[in-house]
Amino acid sequence: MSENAWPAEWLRGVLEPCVLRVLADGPTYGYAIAERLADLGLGRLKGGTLYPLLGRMESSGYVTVEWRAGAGGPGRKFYELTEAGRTALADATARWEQFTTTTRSILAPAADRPDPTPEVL
Amino acid sequence: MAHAPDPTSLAPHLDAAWVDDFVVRLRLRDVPGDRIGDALAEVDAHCADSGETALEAFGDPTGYADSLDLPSEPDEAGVRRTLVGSGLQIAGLLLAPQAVGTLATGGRLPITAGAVTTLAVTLAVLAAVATWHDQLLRHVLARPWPWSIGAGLLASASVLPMLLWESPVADVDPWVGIIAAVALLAAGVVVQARALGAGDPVLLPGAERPAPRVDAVVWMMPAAAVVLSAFAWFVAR
Repeated sequence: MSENAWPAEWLRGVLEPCVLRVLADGPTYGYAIAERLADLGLGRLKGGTLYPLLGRMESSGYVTVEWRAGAGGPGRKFYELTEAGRTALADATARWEQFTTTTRSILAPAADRPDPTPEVL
Repeated sequence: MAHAPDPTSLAPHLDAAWVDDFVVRLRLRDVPGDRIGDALAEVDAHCADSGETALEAFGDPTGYADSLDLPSEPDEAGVRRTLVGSGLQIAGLLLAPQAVGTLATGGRLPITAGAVTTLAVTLAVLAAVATWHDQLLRHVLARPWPWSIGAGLLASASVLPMLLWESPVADVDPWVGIIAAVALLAAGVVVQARALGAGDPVLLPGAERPAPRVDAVVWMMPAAAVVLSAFAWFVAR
């Protein structure tokens, strides 16, 4: 398994914060978001996963959308982060940090655990 | 709508069968045409950029259509108006040849029990379609052949009373029948043209909504009434 093929059930949880984070760098369109996340090591997202998520983010008011004409090709739908989206990103980032700290400490070998483990009989 | 652009021509980078299934699924969910066009254009743009087919990038079209969870805005009034228009035209179509035939032979136009029954059955079927059109359409799309044969048999069966049960319940001057038939057909055309003309075509982002036009289908029953009436006239003479 390559480092880019993460289990789908892991991605489901972290995908929205990651997409919000890409959009925090500026308005962009679906395929560019997928490319960016692939470059960052998250793996290649399917359109069938990405666009329903973008649609839900639009319904939640995290992004606004605008169609911009393409050069020769079809136009592209650009997504831009709203204030509500920035707040959601900050919130998700803080929560995700806590979550990964917790899971890392659970998964760490016994010798590396910061807290003393209960005695095992 | 007959005058709306074909959805497959709106998405040149996509497989036509995938587009058809996607659009039909969203239509069945009563998603407005401009939202369908928006979703379709996004799939098209993605596939143009990535070089993937829609099936590779988005999977099964019906599953993807459902996963978008787009808002549904059923046009119940439009469906009802279309069917009321059909009902008026069918009544005119049943009446016109009889009235013209009677005018040719002379005498009064009998209104038979069979004709009344046929009209009642037809109106009942239309009312049922108006009420359950959504569920009905799903079944028809799932199994088009048995449903087409069933609809053909039902249509044939509904004319049988008119042909076989000739006891008159009333009679009128044939001119009254002709005027009534013309009025029913005209009213049906107007009601149906208004309902169909508004339409809800699949529109790409930024596309102009086409001006309402009279769909040729509204002239089908008046044309049939003219042909059948002419036939009745020559047979009676």
